[in-house]
Amino acid sequence: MRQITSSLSPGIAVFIVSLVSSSAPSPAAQAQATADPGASAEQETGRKTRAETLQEMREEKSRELSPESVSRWEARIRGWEETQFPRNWLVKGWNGFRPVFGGMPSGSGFVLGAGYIHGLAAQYFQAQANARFSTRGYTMLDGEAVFPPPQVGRRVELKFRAQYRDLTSLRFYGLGNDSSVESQSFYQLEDTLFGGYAWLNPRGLLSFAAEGGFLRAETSSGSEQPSVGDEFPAVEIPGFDAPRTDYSVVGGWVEFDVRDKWEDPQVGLVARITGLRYDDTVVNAFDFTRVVADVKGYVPLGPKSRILALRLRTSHSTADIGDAVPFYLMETLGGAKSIRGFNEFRFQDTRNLLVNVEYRWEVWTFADFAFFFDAGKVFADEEDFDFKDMHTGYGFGIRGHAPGDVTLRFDFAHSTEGFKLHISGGPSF
Amino acid sequence: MMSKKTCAFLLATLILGARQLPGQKFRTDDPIHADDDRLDTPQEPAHIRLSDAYDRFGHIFHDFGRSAIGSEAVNVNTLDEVPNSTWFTNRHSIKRMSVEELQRGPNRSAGPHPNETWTVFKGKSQGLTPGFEVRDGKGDRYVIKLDPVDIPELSSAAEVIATKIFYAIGYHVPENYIVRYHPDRFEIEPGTQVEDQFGDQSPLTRWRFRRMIRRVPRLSDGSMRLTASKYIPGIPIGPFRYHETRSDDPNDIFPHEDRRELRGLRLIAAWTNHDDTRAHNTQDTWVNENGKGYIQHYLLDFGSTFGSGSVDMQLPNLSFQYWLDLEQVKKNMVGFGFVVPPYRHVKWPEFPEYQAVGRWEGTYFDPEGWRNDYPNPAFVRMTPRDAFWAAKLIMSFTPEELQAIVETGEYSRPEWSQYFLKVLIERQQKCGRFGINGVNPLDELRVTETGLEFTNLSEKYGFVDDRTSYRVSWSIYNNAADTGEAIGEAATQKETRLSLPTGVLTTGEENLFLGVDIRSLHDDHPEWNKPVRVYLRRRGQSYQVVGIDRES
Repeated sequence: MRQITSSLSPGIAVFIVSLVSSSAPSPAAQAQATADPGASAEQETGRKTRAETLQEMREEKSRELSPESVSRWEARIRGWEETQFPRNWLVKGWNGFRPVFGGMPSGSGFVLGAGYIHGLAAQYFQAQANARFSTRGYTMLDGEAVFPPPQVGRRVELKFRAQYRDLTSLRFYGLGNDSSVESQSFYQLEDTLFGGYAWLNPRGLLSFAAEGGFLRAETSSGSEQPSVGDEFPAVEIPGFDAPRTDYSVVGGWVEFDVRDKWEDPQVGLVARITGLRYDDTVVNAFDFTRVVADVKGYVPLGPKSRILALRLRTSHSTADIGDAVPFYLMETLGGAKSIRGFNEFRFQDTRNLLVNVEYRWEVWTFADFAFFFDAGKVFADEEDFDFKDMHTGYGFGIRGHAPGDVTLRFDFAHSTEGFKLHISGGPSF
Repeated sequence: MMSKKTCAFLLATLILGARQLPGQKFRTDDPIHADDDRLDTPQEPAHIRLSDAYDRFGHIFHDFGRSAIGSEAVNVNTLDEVPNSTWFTNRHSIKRMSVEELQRGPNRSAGPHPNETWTVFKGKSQGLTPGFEVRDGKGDRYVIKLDPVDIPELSSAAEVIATKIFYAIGYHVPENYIVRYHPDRFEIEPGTQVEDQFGDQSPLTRWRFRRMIRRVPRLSDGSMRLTASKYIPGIPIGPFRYHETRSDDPNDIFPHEDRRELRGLRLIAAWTNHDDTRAHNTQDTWVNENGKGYIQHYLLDFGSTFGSGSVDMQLPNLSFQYWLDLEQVKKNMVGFGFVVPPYRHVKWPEFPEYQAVGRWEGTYFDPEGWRNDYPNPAFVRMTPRDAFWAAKLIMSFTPEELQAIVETGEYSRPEWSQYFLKVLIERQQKCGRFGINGVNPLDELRVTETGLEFTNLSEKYGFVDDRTSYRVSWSIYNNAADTGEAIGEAATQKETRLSLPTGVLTTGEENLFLGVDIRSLHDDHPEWNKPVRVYLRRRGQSYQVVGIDRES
């Protein structure tokens, strides 16, 4: 004879029988127990139909019901979701009044401010005004209006912007590619801008924009020491301690864009050539023309989980004969968006050349890691436009990004001037 | 001290499965085909609202299920099937539905009539895809869903096709209709508010409504294609979780993670690429019927199925990994990009030609490796027996029936329907093979005049060749003592019909059953050597299959 055994161990079976026996008996079971005191609970259970047993279990549960609820933590998080915290808090604020973070030049320190935005959900235009302050003592007041708002598909984008900045301690290391970190000095830049642009077919394959504006700028000794004037003869630094200068600015750009997507692209190329003309309307000493070429390419290495991102950028500012390019309008190298192994504003001159190479790999849908290599130089003479004497840096980066290109970037970089950590928003390029 | 709730749980673990109650394995009413879980719940249950973030992150970092991984479902009957209940109603697999019935699905009418005026009484304007709710000429209320503005037909086709499939399988789903409606016919109910993407309410004017829908593509007659999802009956009381039970529902005695229909849903979701199978896409309603209240359980929102991601094409990584797949993240972090996530290898159909079908493919699809949004407690507990159950349901559809269902998606181009169907069948075959070959695949056991017949489902569906033979051993099973006595020697045969032993049982021996162990012998599937044990109860002069034990 072969025993057909149950898959339940005897110990567990006894345990369960005891549980069944200890639970409150049904009226039918009580009646049976009275009639046949020797009958065990399990025998009684065995005689019931399946439906009766299930019914009894439900009746049993019906006697111990309690209101269904969610845990305290879940309720709290749900509350945040209903108020759309922190998105509403940061984006919409209270009736449009909201805190603002960042938005000042790189190296400003932690920037916090307050602003008002109108038209977040509107169809035609969006406007905002902000006041920002940084831990380095900078102040910035700005306002802009965009037609149509960024979230709406468009064929043309119009933007008007007004901005006042008081940047009290900008770093300056001297002009030229051989400037020394030991020569760090500071100056104050106070400027006001009114401008705008019209961009046709933005983010299309080929787009064009025209821009123009008015810029007023003035420099002086910074709030930190030493000042530029202490470190460098003023005559060698065009524009330092010059009278307040007004500029009219006109220009535009042409862009060719074949990226697979605008945010976090994985394949394709975008190239932009920008031309700007600065006319000094007060001193008549700082008229110049700037041409910038910026090319970014994204090459998947096999599957798109590995991307080689490349950037080549060069800027050339040419002063009119007898004039100079003011130092505070020269483009700089160093910092989170150029050569990351160096401080912000580390190198500056009328011309520069920048190369960035990043090997990015996917870690999660919303996070990438990257190794990067940066190289760049500044120069004044057109003949130095080559890849010699480049300053280099390399490092490792962690990037978190969400839909809408809201990126938080941590870049750990090294160069001949040591290690740098950059925590910043937005993509490296 | 064990709580009564825990006692109930442990007892429930034993009840429908009918394995272990000492003294009697089978009850007189076994196998039950319906579990009447409509015990009166006179008090309206609490309305609960779950947190989306808590739901997503919670399941990533914690398993909310209480039963052990690998434990079996507890709400199956003695035939290892799911009885009908407020959770599930066996439909196509039990009584074949006609093509018309499959196409109709849950719909009980023709839907909101396009020639009637629909009155908008609720709206939301979030991003580019608006949503609103209307009341039709008969007063029925519908949630109106729109396709992504740049990809017409994507989510509406997916929603309706999935609805028909899930309904035919047995789940409770809302009535979903594809309707072509002229935007000029909409009326706005006075006082209607519209909610913007920040949750702010403002009056919905006709002008604003037109602005909301201005980018929705128009058909040649000026109408818009939209999906009308009818309000489900009863009072909505919130979603059900895929774990534990509701504390205020006396009928809810089986932990949800241990319900067969929720565990097996994993394979069905894999087939249909329903990656959004989470609590937020379910709904419980309190139904008051003939003065009796009870809770009915629904699956909702099939917009993120097949190649559709509801508001866009399905994201390429979803369905290949959890939205936050910690194992994959670890591999990626240390892999320096040389560990390529599986989804990166997938070749999708050509876009934009096949955008309306979305990211829908069958070549790279792996039912076992398929992932929904997060580790759903019921899904991670799916055992081979659960998968076998689900695979049978999946394979119950013929290609012709699936074609009829796909037609209800009303794709405007035949090549889209053809491609959709091709992938649906490819994935059906993969799911069927995975689920059916995972256990000894004998099923469809029935007593005929000539004996006990069964079907090797793997052979039936062409998943193996017909070289299977069967090792059979009979016994007499004593239901009162849970013991068995072998009859004769085990025999091996090729046929799928067994002659019943004669003269073994006589009428009146209520507790004696015939038992038969059937092992399938196939060189490619040594795991099939685990027996399917079948129990036969004498009914007059014949026998009835009363129980099936299937080892995982």
